[in-house]
Amino acid sequence: MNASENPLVKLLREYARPEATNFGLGLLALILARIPQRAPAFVIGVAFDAVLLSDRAYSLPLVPSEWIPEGQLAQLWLTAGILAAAFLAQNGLDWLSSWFQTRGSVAMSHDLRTDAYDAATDLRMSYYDDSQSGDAMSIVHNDTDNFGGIVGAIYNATSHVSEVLVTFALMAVLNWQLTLVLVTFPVFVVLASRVYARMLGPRHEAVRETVGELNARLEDSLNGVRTVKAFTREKFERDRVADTSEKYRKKNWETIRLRLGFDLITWMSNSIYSKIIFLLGGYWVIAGPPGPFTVPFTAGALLTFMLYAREFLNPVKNLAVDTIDAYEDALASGKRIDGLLSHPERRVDPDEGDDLEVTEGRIEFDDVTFTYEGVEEPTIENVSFTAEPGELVGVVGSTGAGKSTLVKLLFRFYEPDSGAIRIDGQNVRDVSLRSLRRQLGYVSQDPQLFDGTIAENIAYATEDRFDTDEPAEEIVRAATLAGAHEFIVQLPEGYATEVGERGVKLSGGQRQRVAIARALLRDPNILVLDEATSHVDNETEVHIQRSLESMAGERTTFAIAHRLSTVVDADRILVVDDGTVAAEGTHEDLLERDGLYADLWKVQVGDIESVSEEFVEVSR
Amino acid sequence: MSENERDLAEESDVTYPFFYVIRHAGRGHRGLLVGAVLASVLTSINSALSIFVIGVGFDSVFSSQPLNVPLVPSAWVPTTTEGQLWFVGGFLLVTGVLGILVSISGNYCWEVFGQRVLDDIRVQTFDSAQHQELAFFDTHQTGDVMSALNDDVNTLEHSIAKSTRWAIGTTVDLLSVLAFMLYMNWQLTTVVFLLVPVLAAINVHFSRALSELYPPIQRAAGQLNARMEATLGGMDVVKANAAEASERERFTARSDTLRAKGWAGARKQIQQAPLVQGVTGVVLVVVMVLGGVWVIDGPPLFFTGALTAGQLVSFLFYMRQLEGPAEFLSALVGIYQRANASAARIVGVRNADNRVAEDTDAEPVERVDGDVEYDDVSFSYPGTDERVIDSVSFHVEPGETVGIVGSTGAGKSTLIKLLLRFYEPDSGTIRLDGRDITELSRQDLRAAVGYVDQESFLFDGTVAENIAYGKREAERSEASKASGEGGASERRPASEEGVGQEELVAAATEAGADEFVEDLDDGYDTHVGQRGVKLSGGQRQRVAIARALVRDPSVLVFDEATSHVDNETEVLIRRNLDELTADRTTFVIAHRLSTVRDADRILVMDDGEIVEEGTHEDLLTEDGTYADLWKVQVGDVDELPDEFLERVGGGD
Repeated sequence: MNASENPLVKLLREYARPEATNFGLGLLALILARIPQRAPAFVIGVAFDAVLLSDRAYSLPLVPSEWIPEGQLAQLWLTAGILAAAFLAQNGLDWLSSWFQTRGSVAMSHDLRTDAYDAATDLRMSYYDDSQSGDAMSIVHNDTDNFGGIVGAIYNATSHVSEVLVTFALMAVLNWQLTLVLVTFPVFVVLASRVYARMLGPRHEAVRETVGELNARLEDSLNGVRTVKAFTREKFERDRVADTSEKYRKKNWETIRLRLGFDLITWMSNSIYSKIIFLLGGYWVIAGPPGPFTVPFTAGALLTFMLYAREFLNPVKNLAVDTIDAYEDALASGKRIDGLLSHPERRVDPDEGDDLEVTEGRIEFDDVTFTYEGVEEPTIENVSFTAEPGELVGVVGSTGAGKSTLVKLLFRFYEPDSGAIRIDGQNVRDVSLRSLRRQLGYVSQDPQLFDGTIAENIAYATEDRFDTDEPAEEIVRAATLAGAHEFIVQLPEGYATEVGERGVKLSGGQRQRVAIARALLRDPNILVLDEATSHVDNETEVHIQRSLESMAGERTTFAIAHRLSTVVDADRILVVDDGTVAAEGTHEDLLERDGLYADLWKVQVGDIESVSEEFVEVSR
Repeated sequence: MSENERDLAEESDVTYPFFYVIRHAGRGHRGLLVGAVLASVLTSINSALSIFVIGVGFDSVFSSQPLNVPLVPSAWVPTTTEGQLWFVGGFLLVTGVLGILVSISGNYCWEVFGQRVLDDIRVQTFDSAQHQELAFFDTHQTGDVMSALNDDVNTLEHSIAKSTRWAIGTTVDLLSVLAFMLYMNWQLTTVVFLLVPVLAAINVHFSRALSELYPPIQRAAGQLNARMEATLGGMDVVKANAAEASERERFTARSDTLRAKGWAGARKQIQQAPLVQGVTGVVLVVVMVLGGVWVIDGPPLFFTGALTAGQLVSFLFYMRQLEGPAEFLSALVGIYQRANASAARIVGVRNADNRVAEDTDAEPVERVDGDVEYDDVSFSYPGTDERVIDSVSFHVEPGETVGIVGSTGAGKSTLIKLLLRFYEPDSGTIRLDGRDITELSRQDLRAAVGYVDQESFLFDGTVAENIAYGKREAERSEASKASGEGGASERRPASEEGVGQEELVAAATEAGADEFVEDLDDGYDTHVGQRGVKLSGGQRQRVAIARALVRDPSVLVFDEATSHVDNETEVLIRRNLDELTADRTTFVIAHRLSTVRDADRILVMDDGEIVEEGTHEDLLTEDGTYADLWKVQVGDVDELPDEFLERVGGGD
C-alpha cells in the first residue's frame, strides 16, 4: 500500500466498489436530469418570441422544423407539452438518482461501520489503556457516518458542475457572444468563494476552540456545584461563565460578519450582472448588436437569459464553499477510519496456536519482566512465583506497584519482554488466545454489565443462548456460588430482571456479584479477581469474601486486593512492591516479618502512629 | 435516585416556552428585533416590486405599451423605447442595490439580536442552575443540565437567528407576491395560489410519514450506539471472555437493522423533492397555457379582463418564488416544535430556580468557637417519604473530633449536609455556638464550616487558584480586584484575586500539600487540568483541604475524604489531621473505620438514627454494630454474628 495515498480514494476503492452499479447509475441519472432541468427556460423564451411577440419562427435545436406546427395556439400547446415532459423527465431522473445513491450509501455505511467495529474490537488491550475508548467509539459512530458525506459531496459537485455547463451550453446556442460576457460571473463567484472559505477556516477554528472552552467551563462549574456552594462562590462562577460566553459570542460574531460581507458581495454582483443582462440584452433587442457584438438577439432569448441568471449564484457558491467543506470533512474522517482499519495493534488470530488444556490449574511466573511502551522503567521485573492448584493467592501492594499488570500478562493483554508464564506447564504464549481466555475467569474492579437481563449477563461468555424465563441450572449454580442467587430471587422479575445500561439498575455490590457469577459460569479452573472489592462497602465485601471461601479448594484463585481484609485468609499472599515480589507468605507470616505488609496492615486497622517512616516517605 | 429523575421540561409551567424565552431574554434588545423585522418586510416588498417592473418593462420595451411604474409619477417616465429601457434598467439597478443593502442590514440585526439574546440566555440559565439547591441536582443529572445549556441553547440559536428570520421573511414574501399578483390579475392569481395548498398538503403528508419512519431509525441508531459504547467501554470484559466474535455478530445484526430502517426512511424521503417540483412544474405549465391563450385570444374559459405578455413573464418569475416558502412553511411546525422543546427545558432550569433569598436580615457572625448542636433533627429528601435522618440529637464541644460511620445509605453524609444548609431539616434545630443556623447567612455559615468532600473536586486552573477559591469574597482585597486583567501577566500568580502568597502557602503547608506543590514543575502555578486530573488522588485531596483551610474555619468537615485514596496517602492525611483538628471542631465521615479510630467520639449511624456512640475502644467493648463492622475491616469474617450476615444477606 502506498503510504501517501489519499485515504478517501483508498476507502472508496474498497467500500464503494461493491456498490459501483448503484453509484454509477445514480450519477448517470443525475447528469441526464440537468438537461430537462434547464430546458423550460429555453423553451419559454422561444415561445415568448414566436407565440406572443411573433418576432421569430418557432424553432428548437435538434428538432426538425417540419415537426413544429403552424399557428400560435398549436405552438402554445407544443410548448406546454415540452415543458410538462421536461418537468416529468427531470424529476423522474432526479428521483432515480437519489434512489440509487441512497441505496449505495446505506449499504456502504453498513459495511464500513461493521468493519470499523471489527477493527476496534480487534485492537489489543493496550490501545484501550493508552487512548480513551471514546476515540474508537467516535470513529465507529461519527466518522463512518461522516465518510458517507463524500458521496453526497461528489454528487453535489457533479450536479452543480453539469447544471452550470448545461446552462451555458443552452445560452451559447441563443447568443454565444453575450454568453461569453457572462462566463466571467461564475469565475468571479468561485474566486470570491475560495477567498471566503480560506478566510473562514481560521475563524471557524477559533469558534470551535471557544465552544470547547465554553463547554469545559460549564462542565467544570456544574460538576463542581457542591464545591461552589460549599464556598458560596456563585457570583464568581457566574462572572467566569459570562466572560467565556462573551468570548464565544465575539468569535462567533467574526464568522457571521464575514458571512454577511460575503453575502453582500455575491448578492450585489449577482444583482448587477442580472441588470447588465437586462440592459445590454434589452438594448441589443431594440437597437441591434451594440459595439463589437454581431449576432442577433430577441426578447424571448433575453427572457431565457434572465431566468437563467437567477440560478447561477447558488450552485456556484455551493460548489465552492459547501461541497469543498464536505470533502475536507470526509477526508479528515477517512484518515481516522483508515488509521483504525490499518492499525498495527490489530491482534493476531485468536485461534492461532494449540488449545490450552487446563488439568490442575498450576500457574507459574518464571522470571517475567515487562515494560510498558514509552516507559523506561520496567513495571514488572524478574517476577517468579508458582500458584499451586486450588490455592487462593492474594496479591497486595501500593498503587502503581504492578499488581494489575501481572494479571494483564496472564491474560496476554500484553506480552512480557522476557520470561515465561505457564499454566499446567504450557507457555501461554504458545496457546490460542481464545482457549486461554475461555479457561480463565475474570472479575474486574468496576465490572461492566451489558444491557439485558441478569441471566443474559451471567451467560455472557457462553455461546448458547439461555432461555431467560427459566434460568438454566448452570446459571443458578454460578449465581449461588457467587452469593448472588439470594438477592436475584428477591428482585421482582428474578433472573429476567433488566439491569439497564451498564447495569445501573443494580447496586455496586450486586453488580459485582453478577460479574463473579459470569466468571464462574464456565466453571474455570482459574479465577482472577482484579481489585474486585475496592469499590464495595463493608457488607458486600463480606459476601465476596464468603464466596471466595466457598470456592476455595476447587480452583486456583488470584485475588488482587487493595484492601487487605479481602486476602487475610488467603493460602498465600504476594506483596508486590515496585514491580517485584517483595515478600510472600500467609497473613501471620507477613505480619511477623514486620515489612511492607505489616505497614499496610497498620493502615488497614487505623494504627497510623506505628507505621514506619520509610512507608510514608515513599508517597510524599 | 434514578426513579426520581425528572425531565427538565417537566419543570416548566409555561404554555409557549419558546415565546416566553424570547420575550424575557429579548426584552433589552427590542430595537434590534424591530429593525430586523422591518428590513425583512422591505426586502420582500422590494423583490416583488422588481419582478413587477420587469414585466411592465417587457411590455413597454418589446410590445410598445405605455410604461407605468407604481410609486413613480408618469411625468418622470420617458416615452422612447430606448429611454424606457434605460429607465427600467436603472430603476431595477437602484432598487436591487438598495434591496440588498436593506437585506444585509436586516440580517445584521437578526444576527446581533440572536447572539445577544443567546448570550443572555446561556448566562442566566447557568446562573439559575448553579443557584439551585442540591436537591435539584439529586433529581436532575448534571449531564442533563449541561445538555440544556449546550444543545438546547444551540437549538435556540438556530431557531432565533435562522428559523424565525426565515419564517417572517417567507411569510412576508408570500404576502407581497400575493399582493402584486392580485394587483396585476386577480383571476390568474387564484389559479397560481391553488398551488400553495397542494404543496402544503404534500409537505404535510411527507412530514407525517417521515415522523413515523424516523423514530425507528433513531431507536435503531441508539441501540447500535449503546451496544458499541458498552462493549468498547468494557473491552476488558469482552476480551477476557474472548467474546469478540459474538459481539461482532450482534453489532452486525444491529447495524443491519439500522440499514434496513434507514433505507425505508430514505426511500420515502427522496420522493418529496421530485414530487414538489413536479407539481410546481405542472402548475407552471397550466399558467403558461392559460396565460398564453389569454394573451393571444383574450380571456379563456370563465376568465375576464386583459393579460399582457409582460404580466405573464412576471407571473412566471413569481411562481418560482413560491416554491421555497411552501416547502419552508410546511417544515415550520417541526422546527417550532423542536425549538419549543428546547425552550421548555431551558425554562425548566430557570423555573425550578427556587433561589434562596439572600439572607440579608441575617446577623453577621464574627468568629465562632465551633460548638455544634443537633436537636431532634429529622429530614426526608423532597418528594420521598422515607426519613433519611430520624430525630437525631447530639452535642459537640469546640475542638472535639467526631467520627461518623455507618453503612451506605445510613444517612452519614446527609447529616452533615444539613449543617452546611445544603438542605433544610423538616423539623428540629441545628445550632452553631448556640445560634440557630437558619438565622445565619449562608455566606457566614459556610465560611465558618470548612468542607472537604469525597471527590475533592478541583477546578481547571492553577493550584494557587484552586486554593484561593476558598477565600471569602468579602475578605478579598479590593485593590487587587481593581488591577483586573491588565496586570495579569505581571501579577504574582500565587496572589490570586486578593489572596496573599503567604496565606496560600500557610494553608497548603497546614494541609500537607506545600511539599509536593513545591516539587511540581511550576509550583503553585501548575495547571491541574479538568477536575484536577493532572494530580494524583492524594494530591487533589490535600489541595482540597488547603482550599478549605484558607478561610480558617472553626469547624471542619471531611465527607468520606479518604475513601478513594491509597494507603500511603491516608497515612499522610491522617498524620496532618492531628494538627489541623487540634483547635477545630472536626467531623470525619468515613467509610473505612480505620480513619476514625482515633476520634474523640464515634457516632454509629444506621437507618437515619444514631445507634451507638463512644470511642473506638468503648464501641468494641459494647460488641454491637460497630464491632461487627470492625470485624469486616480486619477481615475477620468468620467471627461475625449471624444477625449481621442475615441483615446484609438479601443484598443491598
